[in-house]
Amino acid sequence: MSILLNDILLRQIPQHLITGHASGDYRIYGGVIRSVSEGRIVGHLQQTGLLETLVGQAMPLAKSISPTGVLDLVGTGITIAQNEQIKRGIATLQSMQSMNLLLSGATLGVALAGTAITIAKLNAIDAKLDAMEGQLAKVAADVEWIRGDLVQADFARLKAVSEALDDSWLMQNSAAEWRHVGRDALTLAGLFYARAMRALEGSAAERATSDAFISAYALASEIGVTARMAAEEDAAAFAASQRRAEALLDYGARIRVPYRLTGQFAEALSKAPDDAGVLQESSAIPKLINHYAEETSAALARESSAIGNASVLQTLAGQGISGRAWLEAARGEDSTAVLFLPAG
Amino acid sequence: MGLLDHLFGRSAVDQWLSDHTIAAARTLTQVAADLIRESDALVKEADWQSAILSPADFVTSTIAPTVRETAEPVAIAILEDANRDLARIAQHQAVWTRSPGQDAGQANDYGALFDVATAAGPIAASVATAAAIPMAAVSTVTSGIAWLGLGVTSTVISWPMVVGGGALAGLGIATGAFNSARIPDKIRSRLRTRAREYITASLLGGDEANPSILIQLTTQFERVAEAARHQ
Repeated sequence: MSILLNDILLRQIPQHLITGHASGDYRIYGGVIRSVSEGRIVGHLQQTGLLETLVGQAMPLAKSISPTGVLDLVGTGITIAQNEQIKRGIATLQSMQSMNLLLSGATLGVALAGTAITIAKLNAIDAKLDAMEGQLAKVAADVEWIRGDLVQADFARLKAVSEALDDSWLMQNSAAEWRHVGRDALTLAGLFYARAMRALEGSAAERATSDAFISAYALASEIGVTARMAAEEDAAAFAASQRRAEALLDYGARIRVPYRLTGQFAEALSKAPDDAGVLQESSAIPKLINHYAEETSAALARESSAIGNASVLQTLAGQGISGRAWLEAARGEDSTAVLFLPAG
Repeated sequence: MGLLDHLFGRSAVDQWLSDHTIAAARTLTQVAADLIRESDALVKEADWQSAILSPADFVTSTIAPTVRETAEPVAIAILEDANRDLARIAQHQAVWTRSPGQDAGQANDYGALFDVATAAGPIAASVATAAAIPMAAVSTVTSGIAWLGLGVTSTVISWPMVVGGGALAGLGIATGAFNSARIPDKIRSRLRTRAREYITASLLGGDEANPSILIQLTTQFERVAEAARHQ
């Protein structure tokens, strides 16, 4: 870690911020800690290489990677960690309720990419596709743009790009490779985003695929931003992170349209006009509401992560810290799961 | 405003939209469920003969006022809660206004519909009318009045006019059943169904053309969010 970063970074979140978060004075948004009353950014949380290591160790112990899998994995990591300092470092994440973000497949700070958490996220996307029980194949049979073989090939490329980014850290002259990875990742991101948006306009079966595609977009574009940072192309990384945040907000706005929820009520009611139970818990209407709540909650996690990512880059630029130095510091950190960067 | 500030602000408004859409849907679903239980009790207590002879009166005089009396304060509370949260993040506000004189208008509309329906035949007319409810009256007014120094859109949200349709449906089916078979339990059951349809159509059902109170509220939330996103 550079001397400059060593002077700035904290391995513990200041106690007054933890207290202030508990009292509601501060709010964590995508790894950004903000003052509620002033809207001022007071600092950024950054997940570290230790978190990656713990997830990697815990992953074989996990029975499955569910949407809550990352949280389960990190929870297991707390159990297996022998070092008390490490346990405290991870526990800090829980005390700040930042786990909710990781739980949704989001990232605190910038993605380190290419290691355990990325693989866990890819597995979570796979799980989403599997959960559709052949729906993708069914849709693919009728709709050319969603052809199953092309989708599978793109997911395989996404995994390869993620691994290539990680491998680049081991290369003597890695700048060219990182640029290549960044271009590939952002190209893939564009393909996944187009599919996600198009799926929203299609049939119910097509719409069901959109969540997996937007998750893949979020991951691919995150890798692209990280690759730009690693290549010391910080201005390009910041521009890509802003585009990413705007794209995810645009997608989220489509998801949130209330009539996507309320427009289904009349049909649900017409199927059981004489059944008061249609309104009871676990029946049609509450299920529709819960599904909408889950979708919008996942969208919020992706958006806040992306905005937080862009915000970190802005803070780094303001403090004269290169993206590459930041990534190296986070990757090399082995005593705490989360670093704290004061906004200055 | 910097680009990142804009993104933070936009996200806050988006979160407001989904949070209050969910809150409105959950709250009005609960209110509808409670009102259905209450209406079932009212149907049980009703004099079935008067329910057969004037089921429209039963829905208009017993069910409809109960629904409005219970649900309108809830709808107002939903809007006030949304406005309170929005005031912290944006310069837009939805305004609830109960349309003046609407109840009298409903009575007249109901009378006209009744005449047409009885002439056309009770059962057939019931189906058509039930399919058409709720007939909502929505008017939007851009006031142009400044709020917190900026332009604000005020929208009048009206109570869904389902009384005519709902009551007529109940009347048609009930009268038809009375004419063909004198089975009080069935009539009572159908009256209960009509009361339930009236409640769910008023509060939750409908579509963009004939919006329930939930659709009106959440559509207004969406308009406000869309305007705030482009500030």
